[in-house]
Amino acid sequence: MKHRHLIDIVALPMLLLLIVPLIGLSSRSSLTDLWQAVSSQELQQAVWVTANTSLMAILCVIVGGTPLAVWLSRHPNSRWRTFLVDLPAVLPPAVAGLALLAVFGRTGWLGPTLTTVGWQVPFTPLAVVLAQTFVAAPLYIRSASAALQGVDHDIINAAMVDGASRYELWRFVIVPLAMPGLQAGVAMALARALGEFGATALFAGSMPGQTRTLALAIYINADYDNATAIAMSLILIVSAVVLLLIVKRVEPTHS
Amino acid sequence: MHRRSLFMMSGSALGLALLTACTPMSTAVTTGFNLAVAASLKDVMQALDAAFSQQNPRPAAVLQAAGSGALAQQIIDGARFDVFASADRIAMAKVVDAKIITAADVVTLATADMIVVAHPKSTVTQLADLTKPGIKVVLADSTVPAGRYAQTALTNLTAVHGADYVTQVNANVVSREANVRAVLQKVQSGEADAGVVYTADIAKLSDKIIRSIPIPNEYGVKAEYVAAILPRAQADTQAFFAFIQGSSAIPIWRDCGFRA
Repeated sequence: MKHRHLIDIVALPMLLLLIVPLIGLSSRSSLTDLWQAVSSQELQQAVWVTANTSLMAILCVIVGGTPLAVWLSRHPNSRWRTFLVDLPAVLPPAVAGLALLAVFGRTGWLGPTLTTVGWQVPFTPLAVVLAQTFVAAPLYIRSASAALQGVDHDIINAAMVDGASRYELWRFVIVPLAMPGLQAGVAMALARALGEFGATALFAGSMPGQTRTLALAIYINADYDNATAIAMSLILIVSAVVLLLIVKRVEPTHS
Repeated sequence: MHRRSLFMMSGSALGLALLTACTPMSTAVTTGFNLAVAASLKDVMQALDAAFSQQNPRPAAVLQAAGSGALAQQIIDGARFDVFASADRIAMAKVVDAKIITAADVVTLATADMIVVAHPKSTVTQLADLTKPGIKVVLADSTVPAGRYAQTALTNLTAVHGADYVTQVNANVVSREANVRAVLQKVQSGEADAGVVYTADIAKLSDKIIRSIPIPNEYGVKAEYVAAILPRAQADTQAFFAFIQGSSAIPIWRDCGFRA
């Protein structure tokens, strides 16, 4: 019992550090200021850009990431495969931005070729989508491949004995069983994409209505128009809370 | 509120501990100046501090170089600095409004001109080229001084380049960056063709790295750098403050691309 009290006290500072700033943030602006900020064009454009790009990114993550997750789940003991997929997620986002420029930039590997076919990636919404996909995909892939690995082989074998086709096997057995992990992966990746900042700033620039996402707009408004920055932050916080709730709901509990 | 000040106290205590740990011992003074300076003042302030320290031996100054508005906010929130040097009067006015200093404390240090920069391989070689279709122009956002100055300069240029000049240039703008250094970085890396920055930003860069296209004086914009000594500054800050405004500092300002 005594130990429990001790851990309560020792755990408190970090808990406060994590929570108090968020509460402080919400109390720093009046409701009228916030309402005015919500109706500003700047905020609405940023929400529009963020919603569009991160939904596109999450689509890319699912379409491109699922095959990779399946491939990873078939090599559960291969360290280097997991390592390669995890790497982008732990890189500082600014490094991700420079790396993307090195490939898709004007002077990058693919830049000149893309330019000749009339495609220039930097400074476009596509650059935002690429940046978000790059940093968010590993979160989905990791969660999805773990979920796929977790599907009981006896059930798969049983379905095959019962004559399930390949399609039926995936459609009615594997995907439904892995669904909680897939959903959690999508939610985590979406949360990451919504908040992406560093890679976007370097690779896509910051153009209102084009590439200026909420995270970038917050940074630019933080000094001069606090109410707008805070209103934008609250939008991101609420989205993050919703996504975390989804993760908690669908995540298989181990108890 | 109480909790907040506690957090700040532990933060500044940590900062102080780091400062004392990093500062080498010297015969005269044991601490360097603590300067909050606009991003574009970083190099010149370092040079000025080095020159001052030659006459009055002391450790090198600790510089906090960031956007002027962000620095003003930090000072209002209680950060301790000896001097605040801002890239425009708006950020300085915030500190005056917060009653930390008075308007009489504010002095003009120097001015800088706005200049158009282009990547050496870009087709932009003169001011008129900024309107060419397909050119990628990067400006600072209008929330920072460099962005406001740039917009004013472009507007002034309609007098020579036609009424549509601003509209056409703005149509080529692909990004409005959070600070002027990001503008320069995007042009220097070649991702953008051209941008508008301070002369001071490119003072030390060769033509091979960046192509500079001056804006004629009559259409240009003068960025005014202002500074003030903050309350509870170190005892000899006054001497340093006088030095950076004095005649022996002028060559250093000019060398870094400012007018003084």
